[in-house]
Amino acid sequence: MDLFKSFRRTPAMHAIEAQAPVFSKIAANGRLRQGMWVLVDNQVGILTALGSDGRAEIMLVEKDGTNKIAVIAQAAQVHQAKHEDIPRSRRPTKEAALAKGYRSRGPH
Amino acid sequence: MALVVCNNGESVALQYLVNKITTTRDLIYRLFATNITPAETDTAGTYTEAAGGGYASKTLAGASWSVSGTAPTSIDFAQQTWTFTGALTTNPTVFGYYVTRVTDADLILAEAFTSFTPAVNGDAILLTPHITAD
Repeated sequence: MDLFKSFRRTPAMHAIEAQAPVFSKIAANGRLRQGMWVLVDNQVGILTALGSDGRAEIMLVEKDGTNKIAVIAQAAQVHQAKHEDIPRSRRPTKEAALAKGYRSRGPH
Repeated sequence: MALVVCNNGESVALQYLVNKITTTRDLIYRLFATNITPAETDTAGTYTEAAGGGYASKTLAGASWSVSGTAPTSIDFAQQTWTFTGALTTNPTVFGYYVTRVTDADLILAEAFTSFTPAVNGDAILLTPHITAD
């Protein structure tokens, strides 16, 4: 018996079709954009899809900016994150963030 | 998962449109090996590129893109194949691709896809670059 062969597997092919569109239409009253940092139930995530049925798909993220879990929420419950909400490793400068509407929480 | 044109990508596209940036660049397609979802505020430094296992990024010559259609209009490139010789050496799993410009090395767009872990010689990722403006 060829033990080595028994552990070999056929090379796998992983085919990807790049998605579109690039210049995605702004949805949900113009408040939300794909790729936007958002808050839903006080958890920070990235908006990945907006449905015509008013549902939003969000990837919640860990403190280091990596994926935690994908969730579905009503778009009305989704809000743009504040600058400080964005994980530090992926946080833009205050100026760059403000240009895209990420305001700071400011002094309490 | 949806493709995200980052803030810099939007800026570059608009500047090309009005001829403010007069030197265009080929795009480099790269695979990333961290479990992240692309965000609009990302930069090239956000991504950890795959390494080892025979991996190399792919530079796509501008002249070889094909434009088609109206409303929406798309631009496509021939399918790209990354064939691995074995496992990656840093992070083992590929989670998506990101695109930078030659020379400037700035981020234009990124997209996550179903993760894939190359393991044996001959494992491959096939990607057909496709961008649509609607």
